[in-house]
Amino acid sequence: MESPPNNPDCQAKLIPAPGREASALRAERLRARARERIDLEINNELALLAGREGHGPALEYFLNLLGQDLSPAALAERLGRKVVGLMCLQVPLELFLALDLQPLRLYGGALGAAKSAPPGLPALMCPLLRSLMGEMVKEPSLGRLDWVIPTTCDWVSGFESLRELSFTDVGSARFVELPRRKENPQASERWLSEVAGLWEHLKKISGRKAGRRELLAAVATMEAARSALGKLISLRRKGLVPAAYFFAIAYSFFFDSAQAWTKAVQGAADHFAAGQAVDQKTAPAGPAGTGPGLFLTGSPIVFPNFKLLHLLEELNLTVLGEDMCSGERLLFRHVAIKDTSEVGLLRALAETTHDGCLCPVFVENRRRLGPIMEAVGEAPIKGVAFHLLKGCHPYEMDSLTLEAELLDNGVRFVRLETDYTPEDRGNLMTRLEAFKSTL
Amino acid sequence: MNLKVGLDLGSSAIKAVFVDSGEMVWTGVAVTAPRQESIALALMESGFREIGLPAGAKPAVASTGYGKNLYLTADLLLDELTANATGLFRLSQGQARAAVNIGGQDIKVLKLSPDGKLADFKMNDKCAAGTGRFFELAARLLDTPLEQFHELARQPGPEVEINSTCAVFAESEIVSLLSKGTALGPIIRALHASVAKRAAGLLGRAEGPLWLDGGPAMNGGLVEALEDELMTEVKVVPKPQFTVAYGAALALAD
Repeated sequence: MESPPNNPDCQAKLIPAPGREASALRAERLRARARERIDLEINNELALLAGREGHGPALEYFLNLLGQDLSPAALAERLGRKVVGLMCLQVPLELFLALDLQPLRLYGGALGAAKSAPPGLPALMCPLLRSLMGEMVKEPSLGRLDWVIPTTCDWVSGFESLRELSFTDVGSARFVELPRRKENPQASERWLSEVAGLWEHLKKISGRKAGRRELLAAVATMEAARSALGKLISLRRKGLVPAAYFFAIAYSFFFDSAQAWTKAVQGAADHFAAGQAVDQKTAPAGPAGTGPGLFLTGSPIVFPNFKLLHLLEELNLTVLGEDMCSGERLLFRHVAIKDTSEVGLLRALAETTHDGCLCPVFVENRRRLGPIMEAVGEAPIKGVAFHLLKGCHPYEMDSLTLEAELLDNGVRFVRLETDYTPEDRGNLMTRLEAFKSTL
Repeated sequence: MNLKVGLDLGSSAIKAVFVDSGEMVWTGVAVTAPRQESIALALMESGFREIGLPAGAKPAVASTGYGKNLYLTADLLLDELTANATGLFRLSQGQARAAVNIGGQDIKVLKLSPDGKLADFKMNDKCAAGTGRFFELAARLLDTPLEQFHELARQPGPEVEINSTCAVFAESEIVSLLSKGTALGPIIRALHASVAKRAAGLLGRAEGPLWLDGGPAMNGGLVEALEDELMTEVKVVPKPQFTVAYGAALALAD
C-alpha cells in the first residue's frame, strides 16, 4: 500500500485544518513582530555605541559581531561547530571549548523580546528569562538547542517548565545540580561529580573524544581570554572604558571563537589605553566620564538593555567597575591547576566555578564584599549602585546584607530597583541625582 | 529685597515659594497639567503681583521636582531630595535628622546629617501605593474631600484593615468595604495605617522624632497613624507642601 504523501489523491486531502493553519500564521506573525522589535532595539543600541566620541576601528569587531544574525544556525554555520545553550555561567566554559562546542549563553536583554514573550507567564518574572522567552518566539531554534541548566536560582532551575510554553519544540536539557553551600567538602565533591557528568554529557553531544590534552588547551585559551579581559578591567578602573562598551564586549564573547574574541579584546584594550590620561587621586577623567566614580553590582545588565548605563552617563556618574556575571565576572578568576590529569583538571575547573562564584544563590556569600572593597581601594570609587531587576529575589535579599556591610565600611550605597521598561527613568534619575549629591 | 524663587514641579502640583533673606515670603500652588513651564510662569507672575515686585525685576529661580527640566530658564536645577533636606533642615531649625516625604507619585525617606545635608535616602519604585495619588484615588472612591480625612478618621467604628500594598488592589478593598456598609471613618483610618506601614517599611528603625512633609502631611490622621506605627513623635513643619520648593530657593547662592 502506498503511503499517503506519494499518492496525489491522498495529498489533496492533507490540507491542514483551518485551526492549525491559523495557528501557524499567528506564530509567524508573532515571530515577525518579535524580530522587528528586537532588531530595532539592537540596532539602536549599536548605533549609539558607534556614534560615541572615541569610537574607533578596534571596537568595530564587537559591533559587527552583535549586528549579525545571532541565531544558533547562523552561528553554527559561521563558526563550523555545534552550538549548545547555556543558562548561567556556573559551569566551566573550558568543557565546551575542549570539545569544540560553542556555548551560547541564554538570557535576554531586550525589552522588545520581553514584550514578545508568550502569554501566561508569571507577572513578576525575572526579566532576563522573560526576555529569553521572547527571543525564543523570534528564534524558535533557540528552544530546540541542547541546553545545559545549572540549578542556580529558582527561575533558572524551574525554567524548563516555562520553556515548554514557547511556540516550539524543545531540545534536551541537562541539569547540573549546584550545591548551595561552599564551605563544605561534601558539597565540593558533589559539584566535581556534576562537572564530570557534564563533561561526559558534552562528549556525547559533540561526538568527540577528548581528554587532558584538549582540556589543557581549552584552559590555556580561556586563560588568554581572562588576561585580555583583565587588561580591560584595569583600564576601566582608570575611567578609560565606557560602561556600555564593556558590557557589549563581554556579551559578544558567546558569538565568536574565544581566540578571535580575545584578540579583539586585546585590540580594544590598546585602543582604550591610548585614551586620555587620568588623575586617579581626584576623579576619573577618561572617556568613561568625568564625574564621581561608581561601582555597579546586582542583577546582570544584558545587552541591549543599557538603560541604567545611559542614565548614569547622562548624570555624569562614571562606572569604574562592577561584579556582574554579564560583565567583569564573565570569565571567573584564573584557574589554579595543581594536577594536570583529566580528573585534576576537572577538579580545578569545578573549584573555580564553585568557590569563585559570587552569585547570591549561595548560602554563604560574605566573600562578595571583598572584590568590591578591593575595587574601591584601587580606583576613585565614591559609591556602590545596586542594580536590582524586579523579580530577582536572590539579589534582592543580597542587597540588604551588602548595603549594611558597605555602609559599615564607609561606602555609600544606593539600590535601584527597575525592569526593562523605560517608564521609570524619572524615578531612577531622582534617586541617582540625590545619590550623586551625597557622594 | 533679595528675592529668590524655588519651583517644585511635581507630578500632582506645581509649587512656588518666594524667599527673602532666608524667609518664606510667598507661596503658591497650581495643579500639574501639560505645559508646565507656562503654569509655573503664571503662578510666579501672580505672586509677583501680590507682593508688589517692581516691574522688570527678575529674581533667580531654582527648579526641582520631576518636571524641573521643563522650566527651561532656571538658574539652578536641583534634585528634590537634596532640596527637601535643605528646606526641611531650615524649617525645623536644624533639628530634623529623619524625614518622610509623601509626594504625588512617590514616597521618600530621608536621613539628614547634623549639618543639614542629605546623608541617605530610600524611595519606593514606580508604584502608587502610599503616595499622594493613592490618597486622591481613595478620596474619589469615598466621595470625600481629603481635608475631611482627619476628622472622619476620629469617628468611632469597628477596626478594619487595608492589606494590599498595591494601589489598584487597595482600591478593590475599599470598594469591598463600602459594599459591606463599613462607615467612612474606619476605612479612612485603615488607609492611614496602610500608608504608615509602607513608610515605616522604607524607614526601618526610627531614632528620635520623625518629620513628615509633602502635601499629605497636612492630614493629621496620617500623622497620628505614623506615630502609632513607628512609636515615635512625628513632627510637621508649617506649610509642609512647600518644603522642597523652599529648599530649592535656599540653594540659590546669595
